[in-house]
Amino acid sequence: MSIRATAAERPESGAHRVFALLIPPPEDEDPILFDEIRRRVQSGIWMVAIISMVLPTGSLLFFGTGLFEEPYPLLRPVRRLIVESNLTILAMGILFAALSRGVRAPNQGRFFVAAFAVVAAVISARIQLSVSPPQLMGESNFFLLLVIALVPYRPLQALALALASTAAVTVAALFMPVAEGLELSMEVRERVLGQAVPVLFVFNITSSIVALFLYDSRRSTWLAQVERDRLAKELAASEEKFRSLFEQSTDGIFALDTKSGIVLIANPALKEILGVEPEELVGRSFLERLHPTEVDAAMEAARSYIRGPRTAARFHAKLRREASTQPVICEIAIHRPDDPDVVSGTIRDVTQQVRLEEEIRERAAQLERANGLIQSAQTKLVQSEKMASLGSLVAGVAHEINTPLGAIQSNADLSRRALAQLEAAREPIDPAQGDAGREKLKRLSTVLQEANTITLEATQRIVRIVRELRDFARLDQAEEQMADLHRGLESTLSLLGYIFKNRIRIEKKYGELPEILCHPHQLNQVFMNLLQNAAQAIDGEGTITLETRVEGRGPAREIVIAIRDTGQGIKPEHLERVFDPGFTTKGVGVGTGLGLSISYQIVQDHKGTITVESELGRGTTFTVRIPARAA
Amino acid sequence: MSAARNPTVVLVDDEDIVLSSIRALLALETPYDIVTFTSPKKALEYIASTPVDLVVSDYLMPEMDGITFLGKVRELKPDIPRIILTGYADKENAIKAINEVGLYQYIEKPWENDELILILRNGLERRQLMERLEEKIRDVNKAHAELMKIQREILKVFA
Repeated sequence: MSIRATAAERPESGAHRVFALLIPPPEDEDPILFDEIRRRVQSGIWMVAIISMVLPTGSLLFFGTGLFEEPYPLLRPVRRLIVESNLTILAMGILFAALSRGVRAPNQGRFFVAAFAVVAAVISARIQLSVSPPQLMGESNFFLLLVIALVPYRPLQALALALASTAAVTVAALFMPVAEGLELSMEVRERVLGQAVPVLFVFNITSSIVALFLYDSRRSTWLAQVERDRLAKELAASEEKFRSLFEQSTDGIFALDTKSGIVLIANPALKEILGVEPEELVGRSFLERLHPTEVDAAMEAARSYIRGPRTAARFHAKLRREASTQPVICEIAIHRPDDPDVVSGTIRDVTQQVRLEEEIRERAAQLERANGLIQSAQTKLVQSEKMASLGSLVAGVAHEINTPLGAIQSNADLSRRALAQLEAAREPIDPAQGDAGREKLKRLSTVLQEANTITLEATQRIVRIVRELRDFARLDQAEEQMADLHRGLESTLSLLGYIFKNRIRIEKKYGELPEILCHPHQLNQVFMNLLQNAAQAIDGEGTITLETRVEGRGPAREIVIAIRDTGQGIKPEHLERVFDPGFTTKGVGVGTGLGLSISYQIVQDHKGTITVESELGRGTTFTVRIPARAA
Repeated sequence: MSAARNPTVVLVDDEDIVLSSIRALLALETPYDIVTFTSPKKALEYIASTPVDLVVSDYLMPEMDGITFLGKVRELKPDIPRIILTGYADKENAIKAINEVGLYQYIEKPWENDELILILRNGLERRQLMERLEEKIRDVNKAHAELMKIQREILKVFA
């Protein structure tokens, strides 16, 4: 605020003070002050106008009706002049009254009023001169005083006005013609002037000095007024802001007296939260609003809060809702802990949130439990699938071993019998029966040899089966290793031999396959699953074709194994679900439906892909692609 | 079956070591003539053309399964006892088929040599008995026919 600053800077030394009085700070620096001054000038002009209308009217009545005759008989010759003058002034007054509303700037108004004052002074001087004996005192000063009193003039302006007025009166006194029919000699004029002018001059100057002090004091008042208005406006605005916050806040706002716990302030939001009008809350203890379960805890907390160091705090509390037994869970925030007498803060209803949070926690716990159950069920299913697959593997192995075992058993027994006969034949051989005896020996020896050969052959076969079994399971090596997939296919085919035996032809179209880094026993599981499915898909007789080849080069090189069967095929709507865990078309109780999903998983783990194509009635082809990684 | 001829047993199995084992055993312990085949088709040809006293067949074979084979044998020569060799896994199916196809016996693999010999002997004995029975029935029929002829002659004389 520049004006205020200027005022505060006002120096104390005498010379400066006089200077400041004569040349006050400009009025147009602060628009509010400028406007204030303009209004004052405006109202000043208005008052001058009123007076300029009233007085002449009264005077006109007085002089017009001849009432003046008695008290002022000397004024008879100038009656006409007086009437004319009054009319002039009245006219000017009316004009000013009309124009006063249009004052845009203080100086504008001041100028016109000043001009009026000078004209009025001249008119009144003329009247004075026309009176016999002529005078120049009194009324010529009247309008100057009036104007200076009513319209705030800056000091220098007032001075100028005073001088102008004096000069004008002087000139008028010397040269202006007096009333009709009267004659005034220069000599008289000069005499009158000689008496009057000094007084006039002093008087006018004094008036202007008075105006100077008037302006100064008026200015201070105006400044103070303007400042007061501004502060009042600001205060009102901020009060309004606070009020609207207070009224419209959805959070409850409260303040309590520290010692008694009595509620001092409560806003309308508390009605929503607690079901009680704010008016009912004020003047009562906050303890009444606590939920019964909370009272002791609250008392304890409140006591320690009051005793201990005051900090801003945020906590949950259960409050009582009118006409309900359910507590309202509220989040209470306490602020401005520095005031020792008052505790104030906000209350927010968080019952919903708290309930939701509890629900969510419960749901999460439930989900976790369910998840745990699902996982364990899944593990069991995978286990049972493995067991089922193992079961058929075991059945296959048992069947395969049966034959060589039968041979071994039979031949071992045969050897026993032959040896028994041999034992018997070792009794002295009758030379007479020589040839027959030698024949018998030869025969027995042949039998024994044959039995031995068969036994060895059968034993080899069992060794082979066990090796294939070990190969298949790769029980001794479970880590990733280089492996020839053809070997895996062969051992799987061999172990499944019994299910193909009399109705399914096996066709092999093997390409050149390099060894790749993989988990061979896992891939063997995949081959077993696919071959079993192929065999089961074929109703009666059919063919299973195994095709192997390498595709691509460099890092994109992959091994492709296709297993095609001439079985029933898979329905198009089932095709996309074929790898889903638990999906099976084999009927209830046959298999767990997990075989293909486990195979899918294994192939994925090898970063490969497994796809299926099928034609109903013609057959199905499963294609496995595994990236050919080297160690 | 003529008394002079040794009984002929036909063995059919796709596994050669089974055939060798059984043949060696029977050669040592029995007087039977053993004829072995790995192909059921060839066996059928033989059975059709040659007198045979017993047929033993395996169940699971690539060319045709044992039940089908023995069914065909029954069509050819219904009097011959038919025996099937089954592995543990096929026992149930075999037992069901026994009634359908009319098998004499089934032998489980691996077989006990004593049991095998016994079953074969019983089978052949039955065959013998049936043959003798049939012979006797033929004789009786023949005698009956002659009696009827004589009766007619007599009646003719009296009529």
